[in-house]
Amino acid sequence: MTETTEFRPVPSDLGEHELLVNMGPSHPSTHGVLRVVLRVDGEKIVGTEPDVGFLHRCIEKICEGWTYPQIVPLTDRTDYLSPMTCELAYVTAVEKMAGIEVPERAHWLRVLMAELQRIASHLVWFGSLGNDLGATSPFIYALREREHVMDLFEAISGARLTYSYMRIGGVRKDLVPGFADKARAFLKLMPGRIREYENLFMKNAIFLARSKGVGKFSAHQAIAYGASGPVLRASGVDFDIRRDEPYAAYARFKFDVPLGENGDVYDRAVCRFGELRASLDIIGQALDGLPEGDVLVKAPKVLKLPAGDAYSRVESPRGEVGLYIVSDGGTSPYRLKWRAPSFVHLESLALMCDGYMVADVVANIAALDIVLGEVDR
Amino acid sequence: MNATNLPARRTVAGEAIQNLLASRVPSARTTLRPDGELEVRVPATALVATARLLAAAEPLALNYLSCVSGVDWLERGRIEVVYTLHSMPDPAAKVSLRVETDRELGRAGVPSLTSVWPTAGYQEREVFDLFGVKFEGHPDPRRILLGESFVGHPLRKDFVDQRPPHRRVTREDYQP
Amino acid sequence: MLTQLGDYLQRLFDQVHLAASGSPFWHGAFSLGWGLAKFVAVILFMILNTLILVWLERKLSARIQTRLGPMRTGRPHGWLQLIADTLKLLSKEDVVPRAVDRPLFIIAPVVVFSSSILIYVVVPMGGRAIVADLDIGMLYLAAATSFTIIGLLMAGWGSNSKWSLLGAMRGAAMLISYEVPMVISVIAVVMLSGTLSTNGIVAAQSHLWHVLVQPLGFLVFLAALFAELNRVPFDLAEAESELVAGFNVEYSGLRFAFFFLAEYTNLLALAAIGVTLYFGGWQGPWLPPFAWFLIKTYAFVMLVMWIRWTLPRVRVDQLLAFGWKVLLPVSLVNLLATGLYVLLA
Repeated sequence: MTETTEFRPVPSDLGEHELLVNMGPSHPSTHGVLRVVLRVDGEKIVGTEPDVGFLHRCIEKICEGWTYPQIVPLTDRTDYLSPMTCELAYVTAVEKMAGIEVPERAHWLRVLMAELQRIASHLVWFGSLGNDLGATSPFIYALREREHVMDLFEAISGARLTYSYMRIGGVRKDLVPGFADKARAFLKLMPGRIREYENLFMKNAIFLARSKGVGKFSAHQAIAYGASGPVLRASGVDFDIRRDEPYAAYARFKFDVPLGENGDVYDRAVCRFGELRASLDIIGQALDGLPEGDVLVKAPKVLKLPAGDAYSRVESPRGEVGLYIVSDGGTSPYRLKWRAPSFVHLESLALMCDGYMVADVVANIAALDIVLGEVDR
Repeated sequence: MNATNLPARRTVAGEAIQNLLASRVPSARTTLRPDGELEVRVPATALVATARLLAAAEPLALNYLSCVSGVDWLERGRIEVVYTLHSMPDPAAKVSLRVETDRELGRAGVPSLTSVWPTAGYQEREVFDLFGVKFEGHPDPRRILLGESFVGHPLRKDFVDQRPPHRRVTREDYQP
Repeated sequence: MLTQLGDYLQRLFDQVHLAASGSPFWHGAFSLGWGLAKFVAVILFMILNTLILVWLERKLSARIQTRLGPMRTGRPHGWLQLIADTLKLLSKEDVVPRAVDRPLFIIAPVVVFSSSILIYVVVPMGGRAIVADLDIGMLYLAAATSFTIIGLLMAGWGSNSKWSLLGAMRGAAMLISYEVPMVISVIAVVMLSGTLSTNGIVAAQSHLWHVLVQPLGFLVFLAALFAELNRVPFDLAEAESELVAGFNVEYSGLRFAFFFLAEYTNLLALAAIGVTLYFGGWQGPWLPPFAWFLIKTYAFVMLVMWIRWTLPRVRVDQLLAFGWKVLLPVSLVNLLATGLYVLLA
């Protein structure tokens, strides 16, 4: 595989032995409504072209008509597998532009929720990776662990998927009694389970054969193609927004940032397992060091941002979620652009799949951890 | 990586880039913000040259394109395309590269930056899809989120939905 | 009491046989009738066991995944679920897509199902309980298992869908590649037993099970078995998460039921053959032979299911590489060693 950073869509002339196969929007392994048009020569892939837009809901246009506090529940619906992170991205961006000071306790609670969310999201990644590779059982185990996180989130926000927990100026509600104990019990439970799941995959000869060397993505290509999060770190680029451009209370936490080497499916799995452990570490630190205080400042009833624009980013389980907000001084954003990591990663799918086999497309999509909600918005 | 004092480091890097652009691209207007972000406004003719300069700048090359966004300034009659750039892996340089173009459909066009940052591919397609801005030199200039047959560019401020109203499906549709 | 009934039936059978051996016509009619009766009995046995296997798979997979499985239809433990599912499949509309190759599309499920049934002819289920104790039992078996490939290709090509074709091609390549190591390890067992007939192979294990003498051969046979059965880790013909049901993506209703049941019929049949070849067939102390047959076969089946729900799936090139570059040499080495042993011992 020569290393290239050229942009190559699927050419329209079909060779003699080639077949155009449609991995349609309705497919068990495309993580949502993603359509991938594959040009195959037998089993070998000669061209890949993702076709997106099946879940497009014009969220950005809707935001131009709603006020800033009203947009918070809408941000849940972009990346619906890690809504806390999306809300965090949005409120961080708005608070930066409006100059609102959030209480320290709210910052720590935000870190706590974001890391719990990271664990839940990576568990879904782990389960769907197993399911796509043919091993259905890990999916059930992963969802069983995720139930603990969902229970915690339900206790604190009343919902299991779209929380609307973070608000402009803090978080909606303080921890309920019993939350800390339940969270600590979860922290005790998880390391053993993570070890079990790692053994199920990282030591399994079949999984290693399916993932080592598949979807190689060098550091140069990763930076050129805008990769972020575990995809970027798996290629060996040491960058983590939580550590290098900290937001919320991350500057006060110490955590590992796992790195990979080759940027193949195996390295991305290693990175995500490492992040699972690091998240447990952060949650422990957060529970121990939670400061006292309010959780929500009184933001003005009618919130108007000063005219201007700003780009603000956070580290979601999928990568860099960025918010570019343009304000004209009114109560709604003039333009709100949601930079979704999955959307940007899909472009590099072609680089990762060409030259490999049909079965590797599935492995690559699973390792990129795409959520169509944020791809299509 | 030293995350402390990021605004100060960004200001230093921003000033260096400001000087670089002042000497090499006279038509660029730069503004340094207090948090260290550098706004660079260039006309469309100088866009690719500026982009290449920024991508190869020393010591911190702006090699990472985070976000491409369109902004429709209806009163001024212009659409602005904003490229948010960072340096990777040390994020101490942050630049927002802005170019404006005429708003009228058919006249709205800027050069594509996919030759400098390949990740601009999908994001520029999205700007084309939702704003109608043509990107010259883009290898795959098609709509990405909306269907091929969609008429109009929804994120424009004066967009009116041309599609016929959705007809309610009734029992009569199912009886043969 | 049961043995008395058995003796009575035996005497009745012998008398009828004696009476019929008088004229060639009646002899022929008797043989035909007896053969048909045995065949019908085996078919009923097979259908019953297939249904039980479907239920077993659901319960076993559920328990492995810390779930419960079917619990409500037919308390306790949902044993009526299988009947409900069968009725549901039978009552669906028979959809034949317009663009398919009709003859191939319609016959394919029948071919696949019948290739599984054919194996039951030589499965020894107890002392003399076998449909036909052919002298060339194992050779017949190798021939019968090869039919599946034809049915698979018919389904894949006839469905007129690229996904079916991909699945069928993969499946055909896999089945053909894994026939070879399987047959070679069977040859090693045949050399040890000195006979091709299945009952003879069972009799040859009266002192020592073949699995203890032929551990390598058994492992090769087990790996090839997964490929023959189209089960994970080798279920490429119908890889659900990649090919959306592969070669049978266009099938629904009764035709799909044929494929579905064929898979489990095949599983039971080949598990029974595996038990016959390596684990002493129906032999064992205290219990009647048929009970031992059932116990051993079901243990084998549960082993297969356990592996199915634990491992991920291999990729097709890795599968073929494994079959040709690993299993084939190993099975040849095993054959050579067995040959030397038989020659010298």
